[in-house]
Amino acid sequence: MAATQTPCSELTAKKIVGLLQAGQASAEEVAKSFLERTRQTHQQLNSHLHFDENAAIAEARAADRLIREKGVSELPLAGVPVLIKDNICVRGSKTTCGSRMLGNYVAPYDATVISRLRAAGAFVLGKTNMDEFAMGSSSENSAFGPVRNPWHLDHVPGGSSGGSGAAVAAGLAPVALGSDTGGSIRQPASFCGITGLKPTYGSVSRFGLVAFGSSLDQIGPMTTTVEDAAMVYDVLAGLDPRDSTSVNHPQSGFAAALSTASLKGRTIGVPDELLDKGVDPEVARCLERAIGEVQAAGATVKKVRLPNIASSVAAYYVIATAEASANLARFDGVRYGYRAEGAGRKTLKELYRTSRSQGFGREVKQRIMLGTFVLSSGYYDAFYAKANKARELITRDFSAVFDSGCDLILTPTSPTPPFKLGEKLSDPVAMYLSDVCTIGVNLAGLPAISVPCGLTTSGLPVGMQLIARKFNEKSLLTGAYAYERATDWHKARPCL
Amino acid sequence: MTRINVDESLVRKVSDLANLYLSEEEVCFYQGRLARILDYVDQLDTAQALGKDWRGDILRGETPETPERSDVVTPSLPVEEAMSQAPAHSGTAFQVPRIIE
Repeated sequence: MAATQTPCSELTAKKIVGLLQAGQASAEEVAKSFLERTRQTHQQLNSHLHFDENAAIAEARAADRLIREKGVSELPLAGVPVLIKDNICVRGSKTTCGSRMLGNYVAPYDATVISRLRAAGAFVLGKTNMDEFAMGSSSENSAFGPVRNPWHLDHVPGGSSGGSGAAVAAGLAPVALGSDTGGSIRQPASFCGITGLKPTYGSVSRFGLVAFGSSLDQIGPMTTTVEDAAMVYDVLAGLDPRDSTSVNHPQSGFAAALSTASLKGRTIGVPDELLDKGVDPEVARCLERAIGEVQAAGATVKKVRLPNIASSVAAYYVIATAEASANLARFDGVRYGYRAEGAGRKTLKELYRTSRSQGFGREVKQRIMLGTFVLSSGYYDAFYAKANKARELITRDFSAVFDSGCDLILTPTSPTPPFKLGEKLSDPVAMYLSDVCTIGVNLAGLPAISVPCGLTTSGLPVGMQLIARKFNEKSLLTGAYAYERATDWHKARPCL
Repeated sequence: MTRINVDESLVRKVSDLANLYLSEEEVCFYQGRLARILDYVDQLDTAQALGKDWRGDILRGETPETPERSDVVTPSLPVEEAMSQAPAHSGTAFQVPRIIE
């Protein structure tokens, strides 16, 4: 069958749907191709936390049954295998969040995004490694070992959705889901040379996503092309009564809108603040060229200002940790998750404390304590209230840029190319600054996408971020697609 | 600037509030880490003031309404399944250490 004749790294979601529509492959055959590739590669990358071939085949067969029942033309993701970041619940499957705390947790229900993918003909291929509870920018904080970058195995894939990024880049799946609280979809997409979409806050249901920073978290697709990201977003977006932050803003037709995508006549703002200071010269070189490519494709580029963006990392590490300290209070060794050995014989407080102390890793404890501190009596106004003011100012800065006539904002996705494993572990602030270009987007609730825009001289990927107004994913995806068509960077693949 | 002196007692107080036990080594480790991070976060002091009537709201403005759900009972997770992930349970109750002697 054709599915097995095409290398996995070239099988996009769009091509798979085409094969199924032409009757040239089944979901099961597609699954087998990717499972064979995964068997050869995933241990090298440590990209997977759950790789169960029998479960994946059973999922693919269920997709084939649905396709026979409903007809392939009714299913926009017919036969598309999807890897799922391990903080998203898949019924009957372990959902560890990369943590010892949830090391044996089996989700008793499906996240809404999983139900939506399956109803569209897609199926779950496995679960991917990540920074523990999505706290990290390098995927080195997983309790189950660090993920490696398929372009250079001694480099990080970014984080926290590093397993999803590495796996898609290595051709282990055409699509993976990630979650993005401060850049956790876009930064690993950039480090792995793929596309990553962080949708508008409220546009994709988070029911079944283990909460980290509830005013920031969003689920989104990681793919090899913008077209695939649009196809998956078409399926994921929409109101879900089970998520009270999900909004009623019916949207569709993102993939269809790409047929007329163009950068002609569009105005793109480039903020000085994110291109000048602290940007690696290789990243700056790639971005300068990308700006030229955008102009050559017909867009007008103008310098804009985001005067408060320098406060974004500080504001984020107050707000996100404050929310995390509350969200992670639920892990107490009582209702689910890890319970310390013998803790049942102690006092209730000792049960909570020993279970939490043994179950959580180093970075998670650090963030829980930081969040607890900034919310504590006497410090709330000095930290949490100020961070919320900074957030408001950053949000207003973005609005002012869009009000000045910009359709999109263009920045690097990360100020540096992928760094080496262990390189930033000793300084938390250096690690947190990896997210300086992405964090403001989460604080303002905006949609943004990272697309490949070059390679460093040592062959590591560099990503470009485009940002749009809230709920303007159509503008974002068409802009990114027009750039992708004008360049070949998305075609580069790691040799693995 | 809000210079915070992150000493051992502050780390112990915060870990107590966060329901975490720390070893001596961890107290020392987190003392250094929290001092470094809080020193960085201090730059928020340079953020200009907003007027008194500002309201931070991620869902305001251009964001459409979040509709209320209708007040009807819908199926939820069966009790047995909800209990299945508990480290210890008895029937429909989660087992915890005795709190009343």
